[in-house]
Amino acid sequence: MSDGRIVIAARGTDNVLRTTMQHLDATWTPWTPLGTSVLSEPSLIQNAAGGLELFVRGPGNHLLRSVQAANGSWGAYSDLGGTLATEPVAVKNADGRLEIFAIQAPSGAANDPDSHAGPVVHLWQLSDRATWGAWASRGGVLTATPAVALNNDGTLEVFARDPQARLQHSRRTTSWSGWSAIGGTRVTIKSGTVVGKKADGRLELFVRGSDDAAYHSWNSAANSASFNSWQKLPDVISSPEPVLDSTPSVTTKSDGSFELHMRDKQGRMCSTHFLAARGWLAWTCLAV
Amino acid sequence: MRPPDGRASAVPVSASSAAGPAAPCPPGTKAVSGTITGEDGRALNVLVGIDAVDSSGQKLAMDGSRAPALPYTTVLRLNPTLPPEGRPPMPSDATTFSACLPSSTHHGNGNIELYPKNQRGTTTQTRYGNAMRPLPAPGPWPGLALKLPLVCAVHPQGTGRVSGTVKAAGVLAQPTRGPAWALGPNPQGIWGFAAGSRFTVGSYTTQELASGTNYDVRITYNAMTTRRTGIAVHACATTRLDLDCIGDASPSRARCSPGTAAPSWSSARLPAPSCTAARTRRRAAAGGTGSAWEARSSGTRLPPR
Repeated sequence: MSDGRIVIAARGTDNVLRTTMQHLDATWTPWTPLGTSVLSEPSLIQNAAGGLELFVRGPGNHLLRSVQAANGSWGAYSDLGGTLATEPVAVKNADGRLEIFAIQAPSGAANDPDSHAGPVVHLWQLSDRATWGAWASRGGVLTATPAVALNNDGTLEVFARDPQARLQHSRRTTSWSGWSAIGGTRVTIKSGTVVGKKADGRLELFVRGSDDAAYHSWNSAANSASFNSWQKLPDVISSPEPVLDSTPSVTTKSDGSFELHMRDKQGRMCSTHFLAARGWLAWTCLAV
Repeated sequence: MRPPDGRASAVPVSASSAAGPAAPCPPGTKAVSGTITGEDGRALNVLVGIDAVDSSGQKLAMDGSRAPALPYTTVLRLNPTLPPEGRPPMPSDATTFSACLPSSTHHGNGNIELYPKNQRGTTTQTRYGNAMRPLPAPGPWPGLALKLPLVCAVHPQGTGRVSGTVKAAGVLAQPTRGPAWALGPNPQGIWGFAAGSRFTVGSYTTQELASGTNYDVRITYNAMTTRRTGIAVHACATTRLDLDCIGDASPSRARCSPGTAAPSWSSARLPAPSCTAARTRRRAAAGGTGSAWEARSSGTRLPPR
């Protein structure tokens, strides 16, 4: 929230989202259900006014939106249409407009050759930041929830895995580029992708490879469309190496460095973080 | 009579022995009737679900009102005391059925589905597989000869199956639905039908399917259905059909091991859906009990075409 308190939204056993938030004394409110059952994890984002908005794939594969009121309660879902196959991903543009990305659901038609993949589609707020435009397709043949990041110069980068398990990206400057593979072919990607922005503005991507290890790739320079080839994480060998079993989750620390969290096949939470002097440290895993 | 699900019926529905005449349908209704036996002529313990739809494709209740949430328009049960293997017909065994469907019934999308049952009401495919029969418009449909196929375990030209892997974005995934419908009759005149499939994380296998014909197979993962038609099923064989679906970056970790709930991996995340609860809901929708097979649920099935 704008006052620094943390809000968590998660899908419950009944597929209804529930939210909780910190009190000012750092205790937490009870989990509160929000509307109907949904089909994905939610995407939370802070809007230009400092309020929180929540987006989720709902019944009929539509995009649902809920806005948090000043008192912390969440408004009823509004249906923003679409035919989503994945979780929605929300991003705030440089001018404060929100934009939502997802992969489009297959047609369901018999023998649809594209039922294993779909194009990236997006929906954005108009300049009044209140009304929404129409869904548009950015094309592509993609298979997992996209990751989206805004460069310091306002260009938007979209990343998603393709059926060959490579990472594809497309960027919007004044117009959209086509899709191109990045990171090379050394890694067969076995997860969704997450993206973080370094303190110097360069983007860094994290995935799980088919060997159940984590890999990362990063910009050669801020705002650049160029990424280096995948490198295995961490830089320091862990003993024993955890067998990772989730999409990475990246957080940015107060000094601008990253901390990476992944579940391993024993169900433990494994973490590594970056130190400028030592690189990425060995995994530490905790049972949860 | 009152159908076995307890719903009142405004028009006659009956199951009777071969010697017993069926009651005539009232004027304005559409009759559907015929015989139901095993492929080998035995009398069976069978559940008969009949779907009537109107010209708009809306499911009807027996009183002619639209009822999209009904599992079936009407349900019959023949010989509920027989074992799932049935027996050579005795005078007391029911081998015929009849129902009087609403006058607004305009078939083309509706059909009859047949499930072999044990004495507890569980769909049991130890000797017979399911069968179905589309009801082409406009009706009525008298004199249908419905037969349930012999399974491979008891006949060398018996049923087959469709099976394969299911991945989401390249990672093994667990589907939630997997029915299959015959696109036409096999040489014995049987239209095969699977109400569902058996699932593991990363695979599915349909129920027993009458061999010698092609199928429409629909596998649902993450609320999206991948449909493949023209899938040939051969006697005592498993046809391979692998599927790769679109996936979430953070997919559900649900694992349907008996009696377990899926683990959550973060203290900030609530537990994933309980598989036990999900199975219970599916069984209730099917009218069957105790089966590990995913079964029919109302309102989501598309007509086999």
